[in-house]
Amino acid sequence: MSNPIFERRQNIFIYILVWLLISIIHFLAGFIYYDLPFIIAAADSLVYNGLFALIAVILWYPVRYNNPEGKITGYGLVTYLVLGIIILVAWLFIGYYLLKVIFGGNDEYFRFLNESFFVRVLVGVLFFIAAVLMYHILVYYRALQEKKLNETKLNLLVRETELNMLRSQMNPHFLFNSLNSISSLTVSNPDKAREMIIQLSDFLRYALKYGQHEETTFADELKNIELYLNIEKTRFEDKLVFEKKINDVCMQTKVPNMILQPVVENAIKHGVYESTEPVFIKLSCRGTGDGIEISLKNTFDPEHKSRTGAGLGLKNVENRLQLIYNRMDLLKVIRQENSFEVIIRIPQKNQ
Amino acid sequence: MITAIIVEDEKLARDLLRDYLKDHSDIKIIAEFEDGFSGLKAINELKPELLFLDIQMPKLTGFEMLEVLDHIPAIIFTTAYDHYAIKAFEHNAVDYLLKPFSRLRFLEAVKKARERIGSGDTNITDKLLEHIDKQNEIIHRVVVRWGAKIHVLPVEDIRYIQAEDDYVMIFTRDNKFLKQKTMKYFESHLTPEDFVRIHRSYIVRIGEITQMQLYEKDAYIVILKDGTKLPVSKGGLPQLKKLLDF
Repeated sequence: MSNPIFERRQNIFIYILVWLLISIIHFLAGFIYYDLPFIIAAADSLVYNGLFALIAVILWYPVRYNNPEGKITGYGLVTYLVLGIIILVAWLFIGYYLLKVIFGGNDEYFRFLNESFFVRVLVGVLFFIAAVLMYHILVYYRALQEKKLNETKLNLLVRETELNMLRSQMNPHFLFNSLNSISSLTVSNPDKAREMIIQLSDFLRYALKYGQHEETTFADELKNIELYLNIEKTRFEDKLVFEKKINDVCMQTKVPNMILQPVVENAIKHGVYESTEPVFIKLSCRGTGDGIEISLKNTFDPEHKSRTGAGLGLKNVENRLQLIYNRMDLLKVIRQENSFEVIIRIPQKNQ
Repeated sequence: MITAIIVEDEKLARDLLRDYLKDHSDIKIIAEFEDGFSGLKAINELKPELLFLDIQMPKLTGFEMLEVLDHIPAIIFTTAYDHYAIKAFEHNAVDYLLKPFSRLRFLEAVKKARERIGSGDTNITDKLLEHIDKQNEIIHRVVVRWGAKIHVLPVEDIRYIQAEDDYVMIFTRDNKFLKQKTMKYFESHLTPEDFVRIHRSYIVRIGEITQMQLYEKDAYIVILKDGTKLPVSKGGLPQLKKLLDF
C-alpha cells in the first residue's frame, strides 16, 4: 500500500493547499498579532509548517505498519504516544536550530521563540493527531471499498453457480419428454399418467427448494433420485436398470442439497439416452470414518464416443463441493471401456 | 393410401403418434424403429412416403440419418427441446411437432405433409442440413456409407480428409469413405487442436504427421505415419509451422 497522498494528483494538490492555508494563518498571526518583521514571520511559518508537512508524509509508514485495517487499538495508542513525543521533539528541535542558523543575531526574535514554546507544542500535538486521524480514515475507507468489491464478486460467483445448478436441474429435454410421456399415458394408462404427474411434481418441488436450505440428509437426496429415476424408467422401461447398496450410516448424514441430481442425470444422459441396450446404474454409499463416500456407476455403449471430458453438470458439482468444503479432491471420475463412475466424498464438519 | 414409418426411441411417444394416427385412415404405418440406425436401412428399402422422425436418439440422430438417406420422404420432425433445430426448421419452412403436442397440432402437420406428398415436393433436406451445419459445433462422429452399409465413424479414426469435387474422401487407418460435405464443414466442425488444414484439398490429423520436407524451392510436403505424402499450400504453411513449432 502506497501513501494515499500520492495516489492521485488531486490528493497532492489538496495536501499542499491545506499546508499553505495553515502557513498563511501562522504567518498572519506572527506578522499582525505578535508584530514580527515580515521576513521573520514568513520564515517562522515556512520552517515549522514545511517541516511538519514533510514529517506527516513520512508518518504514513508507521500508521500503515501499526494497523493496516485503519482501526485504532490499545497497543496502537501507546505506539502513537511514543511516536508523537519523538516527532514533536524532533520537529521543535530541528525548527529551532534552522531558524537559529538563519536569524542567529536577532535576540528579540529568540525571546519570542522561547516564549511561544508552549503554543508550538500544542500546535504540534494537534498537527500530529490530525495527520494520524486522516491516515486512519483513509485506510479504513480504502479497506471498506475493497471489502465491498470482494463481497460483490463472491455474490456474483454464488449466483452464477446457483443459476447453473438450476439449469442443470431443469433439463428441458427431460421435462418436455416426460410431459409427452404423460400425454401418451392419458390414453393408454390414465392411472399411470396420474402417478407420473405426481412424481414429476414432487421432483420439481424438491428441485425448487434449492437455495432455501443448503443442506439436507442423504435419505432425502436418495428419495429425490429415486423419483427422478422412476420417471425416466417410465420413459425408457427395461433400458434403465437401477440398483442401490446403501450403508445405514449414510442415511442421516448431511449432504449439500441437490448434489446427486446432476451426477445421476449425467449417467442417464450418456448411458440411457445414447444406448439401445439396457444400461445399469448403481448407486452405493458407505461410511469412511471422516464422512461418507457416494459412488454412482453406469454402463454405457462403448460405440458412443461423444464423451469428451466431464460435462457441465459434473463441473458444477465439483465447483460446489469446492465452495462448501474448501477442498479440491472430493469428486473423482473413473472411466473404463464401458462404464463410468463418479465418486463423491462428503466430509463431516464439526464432529 | 400414404405409407409411413415412425422413428422414435421412446415407446410412449410412439404410442401417442399411433393413437393420433387412428384419425387418419389414409395413413398406414408400415414400420416403427427405436433408433436411427435401424430406421435408416428400412427407409431406404421400404421407401415410405411419410416419416415421423425424432431428433435426439441413440446411435444416430435424426439429422445424421438425413445425411445418408437415399430415399427422402416427407418428414414431420418431433422434438422436445432443441434450440438450433427449431431455428433450422423455421428458416426452411419444415413442419415439426414440439412435444407434447395436441391432436389439433398433429392434424395440421399431417395436412401439410399430405399437400407436400401430393405435389411431389418433399425434398427439403439439403437446405435444412446446410442450416444445421452452420452451427459450428464440434462433431465426435461422422456417418458414412460403405457400399450398401452405413458406418458411424468416430472422429478419432480419421487420419486425413481429401477434397473430391462436391464430396470429401475421409481416410482412416484401413479404409476410405466418400462423404457429401464440404472441406469448410470439416474445418469448422473438427477440433482445431487435432486437425489442421494444410491445403485447399487436405485436412490432416496433426498427430499423423511425422515429417515436413522442402520439396522444390518454395513448396513443402508433409509425410504421414504410413508414408503418405501430402502437399502443403502457401496458405496452410504458417498455420502448420506454428502447430509443429517448425
